[in-house]
Amino acid sequence: MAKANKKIAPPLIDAVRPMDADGPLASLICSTYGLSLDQPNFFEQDFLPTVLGLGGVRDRGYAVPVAMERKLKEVYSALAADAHALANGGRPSLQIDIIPIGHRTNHAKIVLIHRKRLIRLVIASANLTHEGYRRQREIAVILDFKDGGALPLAVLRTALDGWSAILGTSTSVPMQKAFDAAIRQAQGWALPATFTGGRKMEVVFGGGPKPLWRALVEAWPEGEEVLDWCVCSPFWPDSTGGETPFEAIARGLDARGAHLENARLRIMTCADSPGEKARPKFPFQLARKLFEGGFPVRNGYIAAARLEALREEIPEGTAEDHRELHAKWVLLRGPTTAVMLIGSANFTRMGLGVGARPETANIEACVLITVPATEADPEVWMRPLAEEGIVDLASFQESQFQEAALEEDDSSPWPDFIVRIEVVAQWENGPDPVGSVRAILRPGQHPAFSISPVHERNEPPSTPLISVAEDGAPVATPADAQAIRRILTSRMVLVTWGEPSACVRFPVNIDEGSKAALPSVLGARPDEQQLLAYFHGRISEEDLIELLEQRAAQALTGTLAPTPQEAERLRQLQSYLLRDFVESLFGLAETLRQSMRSPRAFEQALIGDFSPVSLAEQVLQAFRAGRRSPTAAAFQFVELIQVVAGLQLTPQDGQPIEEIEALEEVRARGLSRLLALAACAAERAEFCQTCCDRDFSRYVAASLPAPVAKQWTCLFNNGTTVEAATTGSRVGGALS
Amino acid sequence: METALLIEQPFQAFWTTYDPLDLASGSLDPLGFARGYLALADRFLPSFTTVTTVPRYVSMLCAALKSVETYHRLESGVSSSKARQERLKLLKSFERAWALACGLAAQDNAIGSVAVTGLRGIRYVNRQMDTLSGREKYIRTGSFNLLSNQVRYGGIGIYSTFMEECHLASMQSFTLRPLGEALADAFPKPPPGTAIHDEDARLSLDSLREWGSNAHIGAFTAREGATLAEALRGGEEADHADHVRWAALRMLKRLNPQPGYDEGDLLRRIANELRSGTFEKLAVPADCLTQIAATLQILEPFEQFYQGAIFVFERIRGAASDEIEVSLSDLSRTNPMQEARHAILKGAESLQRNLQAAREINPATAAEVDAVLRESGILALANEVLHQATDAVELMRCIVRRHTQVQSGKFDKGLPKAAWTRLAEGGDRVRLTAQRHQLPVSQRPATWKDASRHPYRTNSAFAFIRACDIK
Repeated sequence: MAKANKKIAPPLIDAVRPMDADGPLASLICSTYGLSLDQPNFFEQDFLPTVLGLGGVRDRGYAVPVAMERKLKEVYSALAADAHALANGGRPSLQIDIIPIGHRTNHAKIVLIHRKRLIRLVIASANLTHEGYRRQREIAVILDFKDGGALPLAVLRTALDGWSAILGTSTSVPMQKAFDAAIRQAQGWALPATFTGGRKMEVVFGGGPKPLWRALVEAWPEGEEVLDWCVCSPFWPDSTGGETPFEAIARGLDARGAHLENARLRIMTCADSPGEKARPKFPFQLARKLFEGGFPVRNGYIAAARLEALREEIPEGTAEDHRELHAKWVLLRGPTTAVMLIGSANFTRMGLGVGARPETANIEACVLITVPATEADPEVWMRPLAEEGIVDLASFQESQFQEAALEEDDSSPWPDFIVRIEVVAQWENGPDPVGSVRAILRPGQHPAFSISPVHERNEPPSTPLISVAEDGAPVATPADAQAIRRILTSRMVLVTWGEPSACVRFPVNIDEGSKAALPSVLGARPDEQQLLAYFHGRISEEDLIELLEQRAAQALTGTLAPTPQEAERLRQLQSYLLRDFVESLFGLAETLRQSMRSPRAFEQALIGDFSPVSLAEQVLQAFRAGRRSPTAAAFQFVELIQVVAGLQLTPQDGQPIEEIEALEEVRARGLSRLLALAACAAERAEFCQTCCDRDFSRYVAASLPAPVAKQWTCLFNNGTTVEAATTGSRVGGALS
Repeated sequence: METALLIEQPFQAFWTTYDPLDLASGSLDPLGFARGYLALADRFLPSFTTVTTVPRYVSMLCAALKSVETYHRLESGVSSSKARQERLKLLKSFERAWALACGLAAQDNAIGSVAVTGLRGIRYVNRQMDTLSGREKYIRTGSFNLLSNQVRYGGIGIYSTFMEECHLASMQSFTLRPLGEALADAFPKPPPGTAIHDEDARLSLDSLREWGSNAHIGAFTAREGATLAEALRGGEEADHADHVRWAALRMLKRLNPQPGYDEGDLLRRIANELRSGTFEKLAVPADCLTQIAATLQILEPFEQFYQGAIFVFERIRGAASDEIEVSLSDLSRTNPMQEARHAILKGAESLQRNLQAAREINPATAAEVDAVLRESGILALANEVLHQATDAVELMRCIVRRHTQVQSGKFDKGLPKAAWTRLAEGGDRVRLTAQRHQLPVSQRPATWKDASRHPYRTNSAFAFIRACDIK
């Protein structure tokens, strides 16, 4: 009997909750089968606020969606979800890279949390749903990688390489970069080379060339007898349709000389009702096929996990409820060794890859663990059971079973020839975005298809943005402001294909380069006064967001347009703005310095909607509208460039050199954007005249570092484009 | 249930624990009575809420603000929002250190759980205590998470209004006022050299333990009690709301019910005593007594109306949880439903009548409450059930429609929230709109009287009455 462990299992949601000591979040990548975004929206109202440290529903409040959006902008986040979860339920925040998996069933349930001082991998049976994380009986494994930790780097590397490989062409470039960054981070930590004490573990994926059942069998030591074989699953194979996972595993073990004659098979499945007397949900025909046929194991039982929450499971003051079994694990134990397979794979053919073509099985993620036999007690794993409903395998009758439910499978149509649909949105030239839409296709043949914006129920169907002939080449097409707005609002497009035609809502992803500039509140960007107040510290980010939400609401009701009197007042206010501008520069620099904790946070602060670039856009608009003199506008551009170019990007407290380089790269992009905006102003002669003025040139030379001052001068003297001046060069390097 | 880990090292494998959300269904206000309730509660026990139950939080926060003033002086030229952020950082560190000190004190058998009773974030503190192996000597508050949103759900968020309204501090600028200074001085100081305001400072666990033995939740002193009582009176800045609060606290003290008392009975007793003039001996301004009297006059029928309505709604929801669709005609024939209908009609009629009567007692209070009940549609609902709901089925339809209307006024990401129930065509059958709106059997009231009333904060008030020895 294993020694009772003292440590208490945390609620699953606590496994993703941040601790300050773990440092800021760098990336979050998840995989799930079900998502249930509508009833209730666990992912956006509970899971994400918890991971981001905003307070989930447990804390009796919902995170403000805009606050969550802004937090998400600072990290890379991705969600690989089975297409069925997205087809009808909508799409979460645009800041999350969505990887819809339609060509296979994506059944893997993984959460990868990369923080500065901890990389955590959670492999579980639980989908990213309220039921999975808070209610059902699930199993989970937490793998922590940190400096001085106990897990070898190879475990993380194998896990992330395996995940990337199994997703294949669906793995996006930024997702792969996030995987690489996590491995690079862990490489800098002191981690053991191997496991000790007879323990081994690795993360294994189903749906690849090696099926999970074979991985389990191969982990079993050759020649060791199996004494206990425990299986926990809510779903089971039917008795027809070829070899079952029971038979495949028995055959594989037999081939390794592992005798099963003395083994005891214990099966844990769902209950048909609450209480001690519940019957197990298991296919009677399967039991008969196995135990009245030639299956080598003759001894054991089938039992149901208790359906109701037991009295001692219910926290004080909370409601009782059902706790359906959803955990999936297999445990083999012999005289010296125990091997466990824990994770997302049901004990079905598609779950474990039993059949001729394992590559067509579900995408699953499991942890394969080997420990000394003394550390795995089946009695501890197999509970709580409905004790009075246990069925003995030596003598059973049909009436003792309740027929099992069929495995989750959604066969709704999906354009699985499309890997992803990306939108590039640009906001530089005014309040309305412009951009383009493109479809990235899976290699191989595809039918004719079209992509259109989602239309309202009472509207006629929209004109397709993209129409591609059968096996035609994919195209990227420009989209006007209305189409871009509609796509950003609905977060989806309509894809129509096939004969007879099928049509689904397909989630769009925002091109990585467009994400930083995506407004926090769609339909309202901060004006110049608001930005200055924000940088000056007179208004907090929360208050600014609230103002923007009010403005967005007013815009919807048509009350936003200023009256002539207000317009005149605004014009008169311009003279005060410059003084405000100068006073806000210190706060602006401070905001940028504080954001240097990660390249993404820096990018958001530099290019996002509360940033110097956003401020420069407002200056440009004011200049174009005649509300700003050329001298004032030029002065503002130079000062903004000076703040950005003057930032000291020196390594801090263990900051890796790659991160400093990434910060430099972000700064270069920020400077490039500022100079590009100044170049737009330079299209007007009066602006060029101001900038070529001798006194102004002296001021520029005194304010800006020489290489940047040179780039500025290029804008007015020979028309050299800013892109050419900055591309490929690191501004930080040029500065030094 | 505390489930042990299946595998503990070098990774964790475990069965997940049952972790339901403990949001009581009533707290979601499906019939939109919350505004009316808050209007009444604010006119009876202003400044309190149902969760302001630990007087020691008030003195701790005053001490924390004093520490903030010591270590972060306001300087000209620094913007107010930036200064606030910096001060907030110190304040949070102080609260975290204090929570840890309470947790450490609770480990002392001589003190026990009284040190942490009512502590906000007790789960986080316990988890931190569990991770201390006994070998650690120091801790940084920066490495300790207290609640996932400490500012909103910790002491700062919960007691801010109380601190402001009792003239103890300005929580906008995080500065103390004279009464707050006095209360801060009455709170035990941490051992010298323990920089609890600094989240990066290494704090000695021994020092925290020593401080916790005097500073924990259960060690509220008479000196703090006397100062806090003065604050509850309003001190030198006392205004009308302070007089009302003080009068209500003294009335509650006079009646002094046994533990486990029925709040409805207690409020009815106060109303009776007010009518009989007993409380005139308290020598409080007359308009305070009339405000409380007028409030209680409206409160009783308001609650009866609410209990009846919420019972009907929960009854429908419960029945629709068991069946795909529920027939309102069938449901209306049950005895509890008939009783609830009488209660609703009586409550609605009394509410209208008592609002008029309250105008005779305190016209300002009655007008203010009347406006809130009107704006929130409660009076319209009362009118509808009295004049349009000619039978029980129509009354049930009124309530389902009210729920739909209330939900559509709530927004989730810019979209109206969906109602929990839906009237089918023809109007006799109701369905749940989603499975998650099912009502568990254990939460279904048997009769309208079993439906929970709103809590009028007397539980919090008694915690302060006892701690401050209010006479």
